[in-house]
Amino acid sequence: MLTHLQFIVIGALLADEQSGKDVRRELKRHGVRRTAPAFYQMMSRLEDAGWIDGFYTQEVVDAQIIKERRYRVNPAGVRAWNSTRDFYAAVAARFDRVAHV
Amino acid sequence: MSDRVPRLLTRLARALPDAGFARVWEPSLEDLRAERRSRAEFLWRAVVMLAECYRVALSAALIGPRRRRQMEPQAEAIGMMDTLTQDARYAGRMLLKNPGFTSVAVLALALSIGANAVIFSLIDNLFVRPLPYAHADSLIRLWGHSTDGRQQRLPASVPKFEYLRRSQESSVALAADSGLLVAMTRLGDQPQRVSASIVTDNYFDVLGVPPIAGRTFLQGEEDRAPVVVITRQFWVKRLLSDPNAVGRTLTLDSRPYTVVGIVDNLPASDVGPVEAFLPMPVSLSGLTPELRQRGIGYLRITGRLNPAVTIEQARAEAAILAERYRDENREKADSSLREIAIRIREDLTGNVRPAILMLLAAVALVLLIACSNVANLLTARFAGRRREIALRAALGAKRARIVRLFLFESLLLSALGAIAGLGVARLCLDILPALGATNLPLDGNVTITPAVLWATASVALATGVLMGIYPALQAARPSASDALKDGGRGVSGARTPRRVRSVLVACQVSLSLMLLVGAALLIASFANLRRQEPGFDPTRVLTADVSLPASRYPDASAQQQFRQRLLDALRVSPGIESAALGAGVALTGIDWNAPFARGDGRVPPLHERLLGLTRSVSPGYFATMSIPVVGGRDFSEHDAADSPRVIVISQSTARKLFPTPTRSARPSSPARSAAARAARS
Repeated sequence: MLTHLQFIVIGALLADEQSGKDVRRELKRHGVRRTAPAFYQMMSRLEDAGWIDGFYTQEVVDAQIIKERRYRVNPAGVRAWNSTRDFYAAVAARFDRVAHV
Repeated sequence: MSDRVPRLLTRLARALPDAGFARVWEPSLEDLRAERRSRAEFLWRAVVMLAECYRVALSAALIGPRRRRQMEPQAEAIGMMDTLTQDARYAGRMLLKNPGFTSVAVLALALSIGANAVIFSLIDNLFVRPLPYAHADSLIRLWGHSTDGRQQRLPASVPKFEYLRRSQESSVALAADSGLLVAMTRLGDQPQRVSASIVTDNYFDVLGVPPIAGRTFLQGEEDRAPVVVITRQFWVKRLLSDPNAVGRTLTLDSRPYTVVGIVDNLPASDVGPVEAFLPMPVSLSGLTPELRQRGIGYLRITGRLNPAVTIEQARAEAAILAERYRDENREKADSSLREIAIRIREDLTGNVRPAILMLLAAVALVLLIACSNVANLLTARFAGRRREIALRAALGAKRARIVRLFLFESLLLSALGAIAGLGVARLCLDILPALGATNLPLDGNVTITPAVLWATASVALATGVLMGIYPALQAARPSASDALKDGGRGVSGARTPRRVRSVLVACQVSLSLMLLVGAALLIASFANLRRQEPGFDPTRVLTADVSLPASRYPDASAQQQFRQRLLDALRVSPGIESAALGAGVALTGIDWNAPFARGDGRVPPLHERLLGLTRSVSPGYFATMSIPVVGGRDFSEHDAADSPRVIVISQSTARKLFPTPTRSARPSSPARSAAARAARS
């Protein structure tokens, strides 16, 4: 079962791999602000949990090498995300019914 | 250039636990780089980011891995760290609510922790701080001890030093030095006194002190070569940091010396205020070659142990060599001395070690008293909050949490005490050199070093736990019903742990009593010492040092003429009742030792004679120092070089030499001792 932050992060990675910066931006859109170390610490834990894979790429910008940490979701992460989505959907459906009574 | 990170930051980041460097620090830094900020802002943000990396690593470490996986970062942040912060804030508020209690407790802790910090600083300066010598652990000192052990740390004579230097194998080499004052002229308007040391040519090689400019002495320069090595202090203060100092000529005791090198200041605890080194220890001014060969000791011997040799082996070798020297040189004045090898650190601090350890024990006791005092206050204080504890317990707080809450208060008190204590220590350390400079071999200012800070922090932490743990455990024990029942009756009616408080009070009283008795004994000893008759009357006595340059006063006759002129001038000066000359002043540690025995009957050989302090003095010395001559007569102007040799002995020496009741000065046989020579002159 994923937490809501993990749910957002893995959700952002479902379509394609992304850089850490882009994932942070996505979180910001959901109103979640994290310092870079706190964010990367969270990503590190998702890696430890075996849900995402992190790796470095590098590119040369203005004669300077810029390294970038990128992430992609792996099958275990997809399964965890689907399971969480189903759980939230079921709970939402139940409370929807109650709300409409 | 703007994206360079200082090496220190990178090093600190590498110490992050787990994969913190690669997974947290590096990507965060790359994001920061991509923001392309100014260099200063980049660096500042990098520092803040590093602190943040450590914060998140700490918070991750405080939360178990299993729980961590289940938690979202937001919840995690509210985890252990937040609870701790809450507890700390609550403890702070509780202390602020009771300013009286807080100030009394902090004051008690500040004084005791401050006293401990002062002693830690002394220990750090005296025993821990490395000496500025290469591999100082392998440096040793060789000192002579009299056979009865009453006279220790006696310097070696030139023949003995040369014998030891030639025969020993445990050290790479032996060096020797001896302090003296020289007069420097032709530098500035006035002549200047310079504290110097005469050293062997290998002195700096043995100590492992490289020159910071020029060179040190070369082999063969030992015999009065006109060269001098100066210290950084001399170079800065007297030569005003002259870049061409090496090669300059200095006039010392009317002789020209060429500055061949500059060395860093050597520790004052070892060499005193020495600023210049001259290479001629085997030819001390004022000593004739004959007297030097008789075994007059003035050299301090330093050696550097061979790598495979232990200090015990060096001691054994020194003892054997001393015996051989005695067998081969029975006519020497120092033939009876045993040679003892000690490490240089022990040589510098050996005398003060017991005193410092005793002081450490005393301040530890003071800290214990303060701990028991504050623990008592805390017990009473926590007992008064039993209703609050009961309510907390009723609302679900576990005992561990309540204990932690109270421990925080105690730790906060000790932390405040430690901060204030460091201030107290700083004040004490500022005045310490003025109080103890003459008794403690301190090097420079005694400061609060990081090691002292760590030690003080550890003491504060231990203090906080020690004084808080029992009151906290006790306070967290009662059940809600007990507390609510007792609550109406107030603190006094509660079942407080009276027995423990009584024990604390008893400990406090007994420790205080012990310290008070110790302090009273110390004061009594000091008072007794002040009442002790020194044997002379120092009232209205002024002393002054005079040193005669060998170049202007090369022989005893020239020196004697100067002394006589000086005395004559002083004796007719208005305001001077009497004047005399003496080699050194009593109780200043400047003494000569000479073997002595009765001159009648069988005169024992030198190495079998007793060793006694002697002082060469001029006629009028006893009158000037108000030393009563209880038998016989004082020296007179007729006791000259060509008249029969005479000596005045103390009452205790008279009792040793002449067990009969007579107290008159009778001839004994330190015939060629310094005293006899002076008496003659």
